[in-house]
Amino acid sequence: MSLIRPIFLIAGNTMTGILRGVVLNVLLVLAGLLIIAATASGTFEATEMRRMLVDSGLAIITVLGAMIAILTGFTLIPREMETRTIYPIMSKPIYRWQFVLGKFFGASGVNAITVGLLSILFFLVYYFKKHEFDLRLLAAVLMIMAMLTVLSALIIFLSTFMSWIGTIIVSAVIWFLGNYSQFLYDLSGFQSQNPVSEKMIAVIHQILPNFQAMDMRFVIVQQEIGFGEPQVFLIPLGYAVIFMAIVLVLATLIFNYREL
Amino acid sequence: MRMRDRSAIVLIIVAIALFAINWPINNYISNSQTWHSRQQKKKNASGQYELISWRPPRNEGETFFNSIFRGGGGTPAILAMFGGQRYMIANIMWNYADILFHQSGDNKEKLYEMSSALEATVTLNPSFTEAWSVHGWHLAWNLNADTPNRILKTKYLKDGENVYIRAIMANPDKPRPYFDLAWLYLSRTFQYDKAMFYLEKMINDFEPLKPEDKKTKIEFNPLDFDKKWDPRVVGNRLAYVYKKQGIAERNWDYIQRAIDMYRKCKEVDPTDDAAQQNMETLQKNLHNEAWMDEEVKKEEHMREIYGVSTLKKYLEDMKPLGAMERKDDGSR
Repeated sequence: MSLIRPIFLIAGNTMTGILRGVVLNVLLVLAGLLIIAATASGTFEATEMRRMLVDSGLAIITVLGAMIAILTGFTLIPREMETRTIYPIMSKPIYRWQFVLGKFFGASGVNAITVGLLSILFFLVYYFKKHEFDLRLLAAVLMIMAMLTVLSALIIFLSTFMSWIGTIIVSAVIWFLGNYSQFLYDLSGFQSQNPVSEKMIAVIHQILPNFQAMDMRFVIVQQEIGFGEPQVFLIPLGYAVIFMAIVLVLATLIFNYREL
Repeated sequence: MRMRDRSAIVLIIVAIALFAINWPINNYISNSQTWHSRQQKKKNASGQYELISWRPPRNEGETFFNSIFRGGGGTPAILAMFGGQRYMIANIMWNYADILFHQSGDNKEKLYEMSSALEATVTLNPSFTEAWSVHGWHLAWNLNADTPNRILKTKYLKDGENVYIRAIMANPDKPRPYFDLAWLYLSRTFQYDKAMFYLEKMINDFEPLKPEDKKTKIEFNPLDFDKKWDPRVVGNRLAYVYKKQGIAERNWDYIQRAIDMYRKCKEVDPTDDAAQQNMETLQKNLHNEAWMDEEVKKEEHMREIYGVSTLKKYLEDMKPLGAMERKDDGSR
């Protein structure tokens, strides 16, 4: 049996399990309605229209996408252990790292479907409003996908040693702080009079995922940066991939020692 | 050593190696202006962070945290920070400020609430130069004119000036806040020396808009206004500042500089009739002492009407322009 095949088998089963669930479908419908309601509003002046359209559309995809990632991801490993369905899987010639990666790719697949569906809806609304399509929006959506994939990797990591409730709380806190750490880092460099707190914030900033760096709304709305400057998109993407790899390595490390 | 322990050691080494790679990448992103950190952060010789090598004067003791909590902008700011949605909340507050402005016709209190919404906007998105511009204008023009209280009038004018100074500190790489501050000095406080300093700094440090920047035949790309200055507007404004400073000091050199600047405006835009007319008036009256006497009288009269310092006091207080430059050690 190849090393890759079991990963995709587990990923496929994971995706099917989540897609059959009620949570994902309810949240998807809610997110779709929110996108239509927020971006289809005609109360803004013409100059503000694009700003609000891009900002609110991408914000809803990000926030609801994160909510879906957390609410569908926290049970992936703990439930397998609680319902003891992990035993027949582990009795087969499957390494634990393959199981962890399979769960991660399954969760990432769900993220891709979620973001894909919401983005299509958002692009349609944008096109009907502006009668044009900005290709950079596609890059922004891909970066949201990267953010949510990092979040999914973190959820998988947390669920290898935490209970499901702990995973929900800690992953939500990491999501919020990850979005806030850049702001905190800026403030510490700008105003801090205390070198100890400044260093602490710098370390926390390194440990937490810098979700803000992957958020392309700022770049698209505030600055005229296009595909001529690919580093704007590629550097945060590289950062996300390496961060994800670190988290998955740690998840595998812990799961290897977990008593089943 | 068991197989599991060996693989654990390998995994730990891999994790540390990856972390060591990602650390400088994250630092690069965090300190780069391209993404989110608008401030140019670098440490000076004494280990303190300097925003930029030059910065405008600011109030002592003013911190970024003050500005978060000042004017009621704190709650939305904090909520948005934790949700990671500060740009979106900034835009909502920006639109809310616009709604309040239109409601202020029926209810004057809305005009005062508007400054809180604008404060929240610029706190959440410090690179939003249009919001900074409107915020300062609202304080130094609208609220300053609306309030009957003399003390509050002075306060709002000072607040407006501080808003523009903060805008420059948050956006040292954009010309617009410099223009706004110069405009305030020119038309609200009548400090022509300062207006001249900021306009000249803007012209020297930033690129002008060029005809090829036009998005359509008549319109410039709006985003270019954030990065470049429009020579048609800025040139006329600086020429006017030279003229006013020349009148204040009774100095014909400044009047000559105003004429030269109007001539440049005319070269940039041959349809600029205002520049042509102003240039002709100044040329006609160059070295005409009677005209100068009359202009000085007008200036004194205008200062009396607006309640700003007399011409004599202005000239006494006027510092050499270079004195506003901050030295490397932070002193001025």
